[in-house]
Amino acid sequence: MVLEKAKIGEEHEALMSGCEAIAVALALADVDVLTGYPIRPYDTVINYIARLIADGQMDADLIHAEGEHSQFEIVKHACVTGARVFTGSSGVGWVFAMEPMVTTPPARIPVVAICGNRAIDDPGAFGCEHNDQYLVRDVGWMINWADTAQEALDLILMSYRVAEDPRVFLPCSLGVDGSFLSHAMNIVKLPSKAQVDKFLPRYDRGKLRLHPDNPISVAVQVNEDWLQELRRTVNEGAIASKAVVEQAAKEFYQIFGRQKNPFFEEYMTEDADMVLVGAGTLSLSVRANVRKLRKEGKKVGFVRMKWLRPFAAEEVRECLSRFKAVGVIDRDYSYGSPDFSGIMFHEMRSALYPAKKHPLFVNFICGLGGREIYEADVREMVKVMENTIKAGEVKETVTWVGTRSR
Amino acid sequence: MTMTMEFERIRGVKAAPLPEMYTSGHRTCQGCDSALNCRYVAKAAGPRSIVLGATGCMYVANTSYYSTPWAIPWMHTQLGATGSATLGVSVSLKVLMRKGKIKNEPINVVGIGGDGAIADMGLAAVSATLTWPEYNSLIVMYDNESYANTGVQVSCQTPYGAHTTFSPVGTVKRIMHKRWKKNTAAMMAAGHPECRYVASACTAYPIDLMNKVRRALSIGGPTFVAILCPCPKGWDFDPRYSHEMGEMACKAGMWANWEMMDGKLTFQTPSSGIIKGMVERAPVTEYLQRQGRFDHLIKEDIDHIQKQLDKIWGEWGIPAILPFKVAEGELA
Amino acid sequence: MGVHAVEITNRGVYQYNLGRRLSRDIVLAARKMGRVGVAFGRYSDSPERNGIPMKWFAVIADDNDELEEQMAKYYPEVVDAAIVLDDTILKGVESWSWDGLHPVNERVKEKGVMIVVSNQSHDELLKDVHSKDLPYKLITIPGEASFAGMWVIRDDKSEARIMGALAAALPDMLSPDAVKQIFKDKVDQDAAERAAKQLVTRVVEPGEGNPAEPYRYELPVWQDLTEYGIAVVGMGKGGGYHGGKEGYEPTRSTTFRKHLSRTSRPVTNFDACTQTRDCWLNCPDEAYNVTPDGYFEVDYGACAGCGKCAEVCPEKIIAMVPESEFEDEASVYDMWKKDAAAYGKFFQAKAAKGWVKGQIVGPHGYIRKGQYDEEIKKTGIK
Repeated sequence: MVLEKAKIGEEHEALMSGCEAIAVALALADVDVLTGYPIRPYDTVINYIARLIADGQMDADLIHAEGEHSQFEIVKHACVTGARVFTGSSGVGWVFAMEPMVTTPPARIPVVAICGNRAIDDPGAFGCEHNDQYLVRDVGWMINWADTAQEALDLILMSYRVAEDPRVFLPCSLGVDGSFLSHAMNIVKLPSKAQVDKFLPRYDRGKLRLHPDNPISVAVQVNEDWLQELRRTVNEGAIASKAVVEQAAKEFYQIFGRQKNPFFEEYMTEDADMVLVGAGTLSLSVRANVRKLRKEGKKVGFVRMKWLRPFAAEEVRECLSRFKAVGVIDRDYSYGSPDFSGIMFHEMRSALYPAKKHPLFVNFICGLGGREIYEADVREMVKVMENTIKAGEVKETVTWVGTRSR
Repeated sequence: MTMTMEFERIRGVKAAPLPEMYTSGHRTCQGCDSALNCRYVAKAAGPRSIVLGATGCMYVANTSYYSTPWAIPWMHTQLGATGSATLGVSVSLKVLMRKGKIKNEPINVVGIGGDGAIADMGLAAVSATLTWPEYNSLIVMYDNESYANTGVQVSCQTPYGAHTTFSPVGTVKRIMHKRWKKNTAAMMAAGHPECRYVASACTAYPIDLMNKVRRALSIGGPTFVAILCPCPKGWDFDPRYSHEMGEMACKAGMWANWEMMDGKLTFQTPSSGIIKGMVERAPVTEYLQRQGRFDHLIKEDIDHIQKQLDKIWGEWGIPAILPFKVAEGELA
Repeated sequence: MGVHAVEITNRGVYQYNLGRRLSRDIVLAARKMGRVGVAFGRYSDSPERNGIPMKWFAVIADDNDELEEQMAKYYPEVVDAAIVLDDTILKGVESWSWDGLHPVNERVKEKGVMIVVSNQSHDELLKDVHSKDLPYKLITIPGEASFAGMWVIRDDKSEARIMGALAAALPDMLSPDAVKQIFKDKVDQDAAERAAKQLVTRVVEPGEGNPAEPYRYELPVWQDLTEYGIAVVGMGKGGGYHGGKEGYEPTRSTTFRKHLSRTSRPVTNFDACTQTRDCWLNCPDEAYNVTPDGYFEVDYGACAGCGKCAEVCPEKIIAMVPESEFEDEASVYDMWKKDAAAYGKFFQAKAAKGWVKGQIVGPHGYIRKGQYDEEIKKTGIK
């Protein structure tokens, strides 16, 4: 049974896009301050937020910033003052906000944002690529990816829960693939306000709050006598975040019945020889084609990464070392990197280095600029993995799948 | 709208409040009037205030290293972010108070940035903040006429001809900086119809400065005050003369003290005397010859500066504020 | 010959150019002797601030391997010579918060030298310089501290004189001939030669000097930084004078004092004070306490010695007195309260050594166009 219009606060189902689902999650989470600036495809979420505020379904102030740099600065400082905040951007807009973004984690500020994954200029293109969100992976942002509107809603709530945990206090970005997740509409189960309140405690910054009752000076200038120790303290937060993600996922599952697997989801991996690994909406095409290939007798599975930061290295090692071959699908690029491959490939291959068993690692760069992942592409990936297993070694590390060439 | 602070007018030096909300221990130059400005602003605003400080001398010199002179809550923000940081805090306080998450009370939000931070990189963000009438804030530009912290480089507020590390005096090019100073405060006053308070002040007139800060904080909505802060290092003069430099700048017309409040413009000492024709503007030569940054100027340069000042005070539509007039015959 | 290192401590901004040039001159002179070297400043000093002591270094070696070992450091561990360009710096160097007080001779190696530009006697200087466990030589070059400004630099021959002195003090490191070679101008060469002959040298024995213990801070371990991270607790809001109910005394930093930025300090003639408050109001360092009886007392730990208060005082009753006139930071207000008559005499004696509003005495920055040239002319240097 599908309702026409979402009624925030009651448990029910509705037909909505990823962006709208996120907007609903924000209303349920009682977000206080949001900022927006137009850039596609993330900005649809701001349209929905504005509508909810205008219709009295969200009590929050939405600031229309004059640029992404200000957008992210506003929420950063609003958050230090104790407000639960939200913002987002895409592609070069995300890049324009880099300065506030990198300065957010060191001050332990739990900003939650979405990255509406979009190719970075030049040339300009609106289609989905993951490089934008990856840009913050080293500086203390937690990052995760949703593959359905449902999961977008769920991961927003999870992101607040983890980010605002005092053991963590780090910002978190949810990757929302442009068009496929941001705009396509699916049935989404909306939780009740009571359920969300049960899961998400009030944001309390304690001694780190900026308020006349607590006169602190935040982010004072330092030199070589201080910075190494201060970075170490941020590292503690990143380390702590892993356990918090696990705990939060457990609690989420108890209340909502979803997010059983905290860091990644395995699909048809039980007796697989080879697995594909990827994040975001490419999972939809990959899963569909894995089913087809399984019917044809291919022992292939798929591991869908949700959280890339914190990186669950032990769990990933334990999972991937079971297989003979691992094909990492990168909807991104990392020019000039080792073996000229993609970012997730580097993360996975390096995480597997200490494992007792090393699968054969290959990389598939595909889906760039929002290009669909076609059945032919998945078949090609599986073929490459099969050949690699047969050869017993990796002959060619990277394949640019689905690229027109002679 | 959230409440604004109510302040008493400071009726003279003897009535200046004693408590220091910005106190000893900052690594600033001897004679630093930008630091003195922080002291005045914090003193005027009082303990129920939050300060945002952009990168610059009033960040690095104040808090080097891992220390603070601020007795009130303060947070660093990025060079171009004074406007956005200030807005972020004001919005947050308002929403949290509205939702009952924090106590409803007047809290001053003050963003402090230098001329580089406010008039160059952060201009868009400041302008944006001045367009949100429902959020109370004060943005202060401490104008020491250069990017002082990085070693004194040219900003759009650097006076014509000044020697800086980006505009050195060379054998082939004597004057490398020929741009005239942007009229930042006037721009803010003219460009934001719902901004109720914009002012221009100078550390040499501290009571006037502090009262302007208080009026800005109590009027409601976003406000802006630009403050000339003589800089002994950047301008190259013996620090004992910081106060005198400020007075000389104002008396020569290189700076103007004024206030725009709810659509009405008034001038303060010594600009008021000049505007009313009661006091002659001091010739700019003496001011220029007291600072090493102008040591290389020759007669032709000084004449040029004097001519510009004569225009600014004698020909502008509103002296020191508006560089243009309505063309003849345009008005009925 | 091995490795030689020289440390130059100077007043920020005023002597920045001189310090920098000296560090380069040492490397260039060493090159004339076939040696290699590196000249550098201290990164954390940057940007230099008016008055706050800062340092330059020159390290020279016989070959590149030796030199390499000394590079990519903030300081050499020990120095053969410490050159101090302003004798008030001898009271110690406090460069930034948490750094504490560093004696100027801290890095001087055993039997190394400290060269000071000063007109004071060695005995007077040794009242300020902290004692060391090792013997070293104290060498003075007679003269006033060289003071120019930021952009306007006039050569008062300090550079040549100090290089000449250095060569005379450390002939193993620098030959007078090498110094001559880097100064093309005969006036400089003569100045260098003359300075070499004007040096006053004395051996300082272990334990000789100012016995005061330089204060230092222990930097926290990272675990203790987890509570606040990159934030620090704000300063207190001050309170009544000396904890009482009246007057006002700000809370002051416990990790950074400006007192070592001073070459002179303000002393007030309280008997003649009309309590206009201008001194207190104009202080950029919040150094004035407000006493219960409405007077203004300088906290000499906080005062940076800028001279603004003396310059704005309408009664001209604040004198800026050279730091060499004082051995401690005792409150002059306390002195006056105890015995006004004695204080009156004290004030007159001190004020005579310094300046009040309208007077120009001693080292200073740029005051007006042409004045540096006049002063150079007065010294007779061509």
